[in-house]
Amino acid sequence: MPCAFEIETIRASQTGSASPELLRHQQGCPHCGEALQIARIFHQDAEYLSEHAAPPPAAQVWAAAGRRRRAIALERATILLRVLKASGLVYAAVFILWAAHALANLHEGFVPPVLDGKALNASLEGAVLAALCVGIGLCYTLRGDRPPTR
Amino acid sequence: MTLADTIANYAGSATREVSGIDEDAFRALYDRTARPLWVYLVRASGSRDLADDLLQETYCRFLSRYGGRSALPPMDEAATRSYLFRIATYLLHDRWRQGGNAVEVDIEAVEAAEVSTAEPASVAHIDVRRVMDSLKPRQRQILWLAYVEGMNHAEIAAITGLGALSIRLLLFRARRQAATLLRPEENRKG
Repeated sequence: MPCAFEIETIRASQTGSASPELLRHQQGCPHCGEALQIARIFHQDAEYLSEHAAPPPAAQVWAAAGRRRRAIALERATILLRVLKASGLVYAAVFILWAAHALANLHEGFVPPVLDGKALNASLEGAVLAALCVGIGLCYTLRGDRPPTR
Repeated sequence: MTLADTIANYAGSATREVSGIDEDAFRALYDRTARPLWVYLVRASGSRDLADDLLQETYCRFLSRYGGRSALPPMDEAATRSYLFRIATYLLHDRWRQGGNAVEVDIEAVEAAEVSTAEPASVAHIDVRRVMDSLKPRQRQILWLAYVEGMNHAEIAAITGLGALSIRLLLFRARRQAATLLRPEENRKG
């Protein structure tokens, strides 16, 4: 079974502040003796690694964090563009279906009440406006994908 | 100017300050906390390259949480250290889930050269590497956190996401296994 004083023993060996009771326990406990031996070897290894190699410099990590932040900002900003693009496509699909349905009725000689001149003008204006928005949005987005010419 | 440029310039205008912490403060924090975290990652992952990547990713995540919408509460030195170890351990597990455990290769060449020096510290270094290679990933983490970082069961449980009672048992088994693996080497040296 694990010894309840194991971690306390390790901490005391690191800080050098073992109580007399803990020292007495360590002398008679094979588990704590084994833990101390492993901790000593691991500590030597940690010191060796710290002396012979180093983590990446802080500036490199800082620069990576900055790049990550810019990427996240870009991702967030393009969400609105994606939503506009999808809305434009949905509007276009609905308009095409509605127009096809209305034209089919026209062909049969029946003019539905929604297809009077005023409604038709409003629909066409809306379609042109949507096409303009989608076109401008696409143009702006596509420009961003081109490599700089400088 | 393109949309990408506009946004990049906006985000880049605060290069002196990422997520509410300026570069000098970050450098001070990094100098205090990075080395033990990196050594832990090297030993737990078995690869210096992977440890470098994970260390960088750990601090990026830490910084993104530091001033984000779900900002961290103020933390003291010990809590910050514990939080960094938790992120690193999570990333390590994530990496193992994605790519298995086949990362323990690149220290070989460096350490093969070190055997010839045969300093006591370097011998212990080789021993630990051999032991760590033979242990399961979870065992490596728990042993290191307990015996090098001096963390108690509750602290290790918070970092690894396991229960404190499980940690006690896992640490016992890992210690027995590590002792068995180290013993022949110790006897040979004696």
